[in-house]
Amino acid sequence: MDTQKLRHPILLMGNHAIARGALEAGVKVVAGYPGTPSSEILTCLAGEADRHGLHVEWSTNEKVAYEVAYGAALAGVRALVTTKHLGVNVLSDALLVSAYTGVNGGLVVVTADDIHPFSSQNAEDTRYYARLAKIPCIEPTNVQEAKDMVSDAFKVSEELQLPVLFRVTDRICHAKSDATLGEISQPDTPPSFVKDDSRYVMIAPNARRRVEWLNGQMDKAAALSENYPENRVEAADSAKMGVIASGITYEHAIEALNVLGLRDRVSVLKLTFTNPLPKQMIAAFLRAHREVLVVEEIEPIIENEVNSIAHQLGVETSIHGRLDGYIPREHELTPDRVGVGVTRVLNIDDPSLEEVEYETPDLVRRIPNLCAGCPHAASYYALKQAMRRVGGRGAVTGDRGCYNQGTNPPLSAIDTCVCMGASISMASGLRHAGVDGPIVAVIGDSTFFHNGVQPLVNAVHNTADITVMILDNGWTGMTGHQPNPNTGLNATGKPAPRVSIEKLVRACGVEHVQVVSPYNVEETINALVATMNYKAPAVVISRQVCPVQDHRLRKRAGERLSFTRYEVDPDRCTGCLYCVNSVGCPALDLADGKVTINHETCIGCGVCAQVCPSEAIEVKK
Amino acid sequence: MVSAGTMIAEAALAEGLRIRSSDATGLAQRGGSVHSQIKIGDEVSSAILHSGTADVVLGFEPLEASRWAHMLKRGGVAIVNSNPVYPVTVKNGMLRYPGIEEQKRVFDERGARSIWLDGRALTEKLGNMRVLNSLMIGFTAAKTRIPIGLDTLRRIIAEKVPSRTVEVNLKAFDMGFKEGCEGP
Repeated sequence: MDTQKLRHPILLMGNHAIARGALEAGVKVVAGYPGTPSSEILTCLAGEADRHGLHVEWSTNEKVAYEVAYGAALAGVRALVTTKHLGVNVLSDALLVSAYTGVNGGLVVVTADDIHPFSSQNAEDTRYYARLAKIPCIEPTNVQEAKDMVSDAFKVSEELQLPVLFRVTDRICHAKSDATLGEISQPDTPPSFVKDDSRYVMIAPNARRRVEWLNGQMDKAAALSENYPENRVEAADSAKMGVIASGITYEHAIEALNVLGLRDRVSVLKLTFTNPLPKQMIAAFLRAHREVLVVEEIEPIIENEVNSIAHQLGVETSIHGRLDGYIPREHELTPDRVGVGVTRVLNIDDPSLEEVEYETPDLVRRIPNLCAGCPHAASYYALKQAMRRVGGRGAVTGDRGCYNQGTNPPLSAIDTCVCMGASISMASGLRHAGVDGPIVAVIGDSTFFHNGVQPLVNAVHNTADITVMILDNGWTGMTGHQPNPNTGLNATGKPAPRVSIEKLVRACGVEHVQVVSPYNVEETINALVATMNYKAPAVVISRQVCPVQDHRLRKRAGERLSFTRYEVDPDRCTGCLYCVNSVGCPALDLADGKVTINHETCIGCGVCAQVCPSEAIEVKK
Repeated sequence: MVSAGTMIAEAALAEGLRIRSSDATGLAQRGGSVHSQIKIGDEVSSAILHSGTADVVLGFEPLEASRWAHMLKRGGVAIVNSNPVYPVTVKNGMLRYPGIEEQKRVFDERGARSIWLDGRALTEKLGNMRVLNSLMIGFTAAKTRIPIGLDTLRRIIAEKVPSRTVEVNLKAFDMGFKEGCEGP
């Protein structure tokens, strides 16, 4: 991000473009919680924080992040929140009420929706929240716009005094494209907080007044949407068909029309300011075309509103999209999928178009696993052994993080994974329902800070006899190793107080707490057995720093890494594959029916040597 | 580590071309499937390729290369590193890894050509297994008509790889290019 290179295009990733856009807009306070595909935005801004005088933080969860940014925006400075779609659920409590008070400095919530999904528990469309909260929504169509429109979003936010939802999807976040940069603005608004309790204290009488104000602001927003330059028609002369496309799907539509040679037969209405919609513009587009295909990610939100506009107008235009199956109902769109929709509307039955319907060849899937030497794999091994020793079927409730790869074969170690912190509360529910046997909630350190503390307090308060296993690897690993309150560093890499998980757990009222290293297999099994036999909520903290991050940092510090070298004795290895199937370590290979160790990936954790029934794996002297 | 896709995109940018590309690289560490899609040209739209439109598939692993065969246009070229990386489910016998003839057929059936090279054997000659990217880019430059000059590719490789590995990476690029010119 060299400012001297202005006007010369550079190769820019979408998330870095958004970060750059925030710098160009003069953002002052940035807060977020890591989540794919959003994480690089805040990491990038954290790297610029000192140079440009910003406050950038990883907050404990998205609601906290939103409230931090919202507080800053009340003080008149520009503030940015970054989150993935699921985090919008978490922050929505604050978002919906903050729309009533409004803001002073611009407040932009960047939500990166993993719509397919590639790395999430669901595929949700956060644009519903813009409608629910009654706030504007902007959806850029490519990387350049992802940068440029951040400034627009801040201006809209300040003009309307409303938070703005800046909605992007994976194919913008992790896309790379040529892009030109603008000048960075230093934040120059002096912060000031002016008491105004009729506006900021949301007791019911004030809320009744403010909802009228809010509805009025959204009427003004409709006029802004109508005049937004990137809500525009690209008309094909005498086209009978039109495509209405928002966000990333606009570029898919253009690509599909180019590939199919249909640019001159189909008009396109490009939408980027999508809440409220430019109703007059849409009405004119409907009047001008006999058939309209609506493409959007990922729910038929615009399609429903277009249907409603058509109904009000009484036009005969046929409207197609996800609702009538012209566009597939689920999963992300691609140029192919948009193209198929276009050809169906135009009734084109050209055999040369068959090529566009290729499916991905049906091949062996490459199922992601835990890394070589991952302490979570060792924790899962110990957990399964401890459950066997205690007896009874029980359940293992899982949570969100790297460790949900433990659901994949060969580990198949967890029974549930729903949302941040749910492992502990769901375990309580299973116990209260009367399920017998050990019930164990497995949760990572960052997830515990995010939303695991309240469920633990609840388990103590309501005497749920469960075991909680906190997999403490010191980092928020899954999303790219961001620091959390347990890391001892803040987002900008400076030392931060370390919040002790043991003390926190004890302060929640848990009396039985054990700390183990999962690399010591027998010790971990014994601790889990003792915890399962304890007749109250009890906690095992399985602590081992994430080796991937640990090795990265040590290498960066100039250390030459060397690992304990384990070898398999081929005379003793019976080829039973117990190690491969019970630990699932990717450093275990097979040759001629015997296990071998891949020394390019093995980090010498020694777990396989501890579990081998033939004692065939040992340290090479 | 800069991906081969990013190096090609940077080189195309240096040639004054426009870029749309899309990466799914997060699961490499965990043994998952990763890929990048790149469009380069005077006018480009959408970070996702339309199937049947790719000129080149650059496959660093056979199974992963054939996974994207449907993106190739008729007459397109797949450059495939022939060294397999077996998924855990293959290692423990749950699934069968397809044979090389089976994988070649995937490309043949699309009317595309596949050119295979033994990247491990070649990089071993250089004493460094981590220069496969540069080797594959050099090979691709010889075998396909990507609109990027050799000098630009070399310059971008030199800029993007760690400084102490510039020399060996350029050697790998040249070796790949030479291999590509000599082979069938």
